[in-house]
Amino acid sequence: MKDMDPFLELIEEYHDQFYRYVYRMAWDTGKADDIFAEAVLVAYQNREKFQLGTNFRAWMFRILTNKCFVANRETARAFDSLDEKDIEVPARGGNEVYEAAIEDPDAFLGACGDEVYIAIRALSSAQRACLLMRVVEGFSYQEIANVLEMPLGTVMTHLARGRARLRRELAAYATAEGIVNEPIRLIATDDENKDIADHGS
Amino acid sequence: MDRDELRSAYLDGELSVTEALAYEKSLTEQECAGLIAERRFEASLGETIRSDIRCPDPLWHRVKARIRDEHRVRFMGVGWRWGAIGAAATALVLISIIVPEALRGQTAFLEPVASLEALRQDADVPADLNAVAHFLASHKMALTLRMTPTIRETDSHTHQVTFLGARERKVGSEKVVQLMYNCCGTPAVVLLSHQNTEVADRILRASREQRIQASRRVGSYVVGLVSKHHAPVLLRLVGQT
Repeated sequence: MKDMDPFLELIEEYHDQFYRYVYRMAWDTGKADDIFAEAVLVAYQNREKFQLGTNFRAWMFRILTNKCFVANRETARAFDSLDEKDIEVPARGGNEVYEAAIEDPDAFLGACGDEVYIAIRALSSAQRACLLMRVVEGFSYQEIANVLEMPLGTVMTHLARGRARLRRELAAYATAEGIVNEPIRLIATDDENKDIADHGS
Repeated sequence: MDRDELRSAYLDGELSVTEALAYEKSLTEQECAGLIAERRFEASLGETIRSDIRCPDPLWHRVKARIRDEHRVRFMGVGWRWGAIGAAATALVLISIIVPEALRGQTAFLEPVASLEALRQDADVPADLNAVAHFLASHKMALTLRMTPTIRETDSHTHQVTFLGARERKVGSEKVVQLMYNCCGTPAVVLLSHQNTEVADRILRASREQRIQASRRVGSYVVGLVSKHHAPVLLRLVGQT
């Protein structure tokens, strides 16, 4: 039993983080419990592969991420073809650009309620993984790149596009629901400037 | 790095000092305000997500228990391991005997009866309309039964039908009512069940898989025909009151 306890203790220390990540990553939150349990067991079975002194959280997040992708074929497909999905420009009107000015983030989040999670779930798997690891778990870009086994530049792209999409979704919701009463200050991003230029708007 | 990526990396503090200064210089006042708002928004978002979900305790206890079980099995001695294998083999043999037996009990009502004599002897209720009506009522079934000596299946075939009585059979925790017929010299059983029950599901599934002759819904009931003789029209003898 001696060699089990330290590893289990390590998992126990972070298990809420792991569960939270799975819950937000899984397309079907009803499967979160199973994915989490399976990932932890797999980690335990492979504990000899973990080198003490290295980044345990990153090691675990790689297993958790893989399990999330495997558990959801749709998500996995999105992950496989993420470039294609990310390049896709959402339909907009002629002069529509995005980014809501958020004066009071707490109040804004409270007013948006579950819409925030809906907007996060609307991101591609890779964008969601990057955003959750960065914004919620505080991973550095390099750590995220190691977990997802992708180049640092790709992580940056996913984060930038994920953020832009999140802003856009929430701004659209806030405007439609009258949460943002003040005129929304809008800033066009590079992608949109290009898009506008391409269409001669 | 495009401007969006630059902005994102700046927010995350992932730019070098030189890059960050250059980026700051390039910002308009509006962009600057947007960045400040976004940084505050993300800090709030991170905090909200961090605090809204925890691993449910029962789940964590289950996972820990599984890990401990796994650890125990893994570190059992060879003797223990053989013992466990022996126990598993014994359990497998027992399961292979017990499970099919239990399943047979649950599906026996879907198998055709071998002889008319067996059917006659098994009737709980005689072939009497009033008696059958009471019997159905006692099962909370608002159904009527039509008696007829013949019933036409197709233009070229008319079944000779004799009602032999009714009975009930247990299927797991539920009951199925059976109307028994002699149809052209072959035993035929019409199964009656309330819809949305396990028995009804089994009847419908068996019919879809062609393990029984036919099934249909009659109001809030499901009826099915079990016989070696193809006579689905028999199901039309049952109607809802």
